[in-house]
Amino acid sequence: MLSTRLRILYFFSLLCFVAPATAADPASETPSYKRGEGIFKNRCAPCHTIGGGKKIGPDLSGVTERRKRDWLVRWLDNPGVMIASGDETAKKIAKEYSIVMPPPNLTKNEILEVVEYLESHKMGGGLPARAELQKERKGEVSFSTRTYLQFFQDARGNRYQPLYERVDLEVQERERKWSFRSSGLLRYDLRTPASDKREMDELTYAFLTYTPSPGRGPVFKIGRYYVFDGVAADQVDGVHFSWEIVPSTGLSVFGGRPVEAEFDGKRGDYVYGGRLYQRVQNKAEVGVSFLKEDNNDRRFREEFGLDIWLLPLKNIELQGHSYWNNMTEGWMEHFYTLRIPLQKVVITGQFGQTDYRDAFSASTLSAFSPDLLGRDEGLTKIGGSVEYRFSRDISAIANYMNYGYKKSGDARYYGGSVNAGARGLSAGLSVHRMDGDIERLRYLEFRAYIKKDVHRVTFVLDALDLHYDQPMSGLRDAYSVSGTALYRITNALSVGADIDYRKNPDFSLNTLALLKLLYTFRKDL
Amino acid sequence: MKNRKYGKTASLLLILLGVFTSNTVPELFAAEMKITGDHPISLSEKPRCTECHPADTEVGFKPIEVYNHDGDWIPRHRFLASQTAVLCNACHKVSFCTDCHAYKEELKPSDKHSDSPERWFPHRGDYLFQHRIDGRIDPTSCFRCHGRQNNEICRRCHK
Repeated sequence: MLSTRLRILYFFSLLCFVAPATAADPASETPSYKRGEGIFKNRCAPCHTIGGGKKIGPDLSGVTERRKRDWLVRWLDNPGVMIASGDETAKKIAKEYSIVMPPPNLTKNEILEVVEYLESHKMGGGLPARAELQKERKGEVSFSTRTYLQFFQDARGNRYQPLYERVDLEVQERERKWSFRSSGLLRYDLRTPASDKREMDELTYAFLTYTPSPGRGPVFKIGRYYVFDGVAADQVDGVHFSWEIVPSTGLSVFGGRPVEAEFDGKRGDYVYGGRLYQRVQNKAEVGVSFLKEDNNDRRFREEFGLDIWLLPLKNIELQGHSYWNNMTEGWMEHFYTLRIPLQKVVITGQFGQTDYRDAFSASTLSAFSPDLLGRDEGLTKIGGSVEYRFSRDISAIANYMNYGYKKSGDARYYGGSVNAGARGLSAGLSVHRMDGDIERLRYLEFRAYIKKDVHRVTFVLDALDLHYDQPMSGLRDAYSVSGTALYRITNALSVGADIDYRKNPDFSLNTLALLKLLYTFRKDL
Repeated sequence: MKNRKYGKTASLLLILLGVFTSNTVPELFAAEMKITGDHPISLSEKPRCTECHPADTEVGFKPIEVYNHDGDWIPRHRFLASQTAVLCNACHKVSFCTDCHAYKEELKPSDKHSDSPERWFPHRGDYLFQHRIDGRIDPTSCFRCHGRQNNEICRRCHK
């Protein structure tokens, strides 16, 4: 049965789902300028004010008196097109502001609603409409539910129909001091062999955040959350505190019970750690971090981390980290990238080094044991990529990576890909070669996809092929081909279906189908 | 019989050709399935910050260009997330991260988001066979997600 925490999450989610559904249809009763206000706050207010002065874009006070309605509608449809068409006013705005306003991606109706909202500001403060607009919202709630029903058959002929339900819920009050974020998953197998467990649930995260001074100062979190602070990349049931003491210096600390594999005993488990960082304006950030975990009352992990980001010259960026395992007294990992972004080209170099004994000492899975991976084995990766952007919509990337092992032979992975898109059509093609010293690591990898948006429907064809130099279990090509169609019934509701056809050395044939129902909304409280 | 089969195949190919070469410009549905945080518009398909913001704009004491989701974004994003995770929330809900960095979820990211083939996702295709090869090439890439958690399925074979 469902766990208590997931029931609570679903209860709250249901409330959010039912509340807007039982309310009067907002489209029929809310005045259009009022709907325009909502759009303006979400989409325009980050860059524009009405009477509050310039921000990233101009102050829009009185704009409906300076510009004709038709001009505003065309501008809101696509500013770039207006500028390209040679419209003098549009060109003047583009010259005055260094940023060309991106297309706000509004439907025709939404554009008209925004224009009506802007027009309502010239009506004078005595109108009821104006008074209504001054009302402040109490907060915001967003909710999404994603339902997937999958059909497939395993090699023994057993048929499965797992049903997945993912629910996300976020609530934030107006001042942004308090917020609650949560996400949960439920799986129930409609069809499965009797011996298998039919249901599974997971509370992925659910935490309350308190920020006394939004945008600065300390932030408190309590609940189940993900922590990505230096050496820590963990899921924790506990508390988290972060504080940017001054804009260049800050710290974070966390503690609680680690969320790990279910089969692992939880008695006596705890984890804590933190990170301290220093930034130098636009040039560097250096962080030191620490993590300690006890598992079943025994020392399990003691890790230290050093992370850096450097910009020694304008177009040379170096970032990476080194992690130390205090239990085995060895370096777990060094991983660094050097990046040179130029006008149309981005050049990247990568270096990584891992000692398996130190890196995998705290694993809960036998797949990472020295018996399987080799004793005293280690890996050094050196490689890089060059990306060239022909235009905004067309780019090509070439990459190379050398894998050098302490004990086993080496391997090289190299190849390239091209991606292009325009007018609702996009496509990609990639070809890579894995060239290793052992037979299994010699193959060619091909992938091609094409995606097309037609009105409210997205169609995708996607194919992947691995061509082995030597047949694997008698098979030279392992491939999968999938077709997808996703129909957006409304901006909030979509339905879709996938069909996959797969062939690989384990299963001679596997057909898989997936149905999707996706719903989302965001509502002011 | 054979002609009918060829006819059906040709019709199917023609329909697909028609769909993929039709010139309809789609409406943009910015709000759908992408609930943005503080960012004014929803972004899709490898957003590049410098397309709208001047390159010298500073975000988190770093030039905004650093956050361009270029072709090298996937190997780089974990550095930025571990240094300034709060910036990720400007555009992404936490569930965006957990779509890949999940705990127990069995549904693969590439299946959930099959309508976004341009995005990089782990475990494309039928991964059961290929994971042995990838695990041999670089087990650290497996360990990050499956080393200590999210490995109930792995244990069916790796006892």
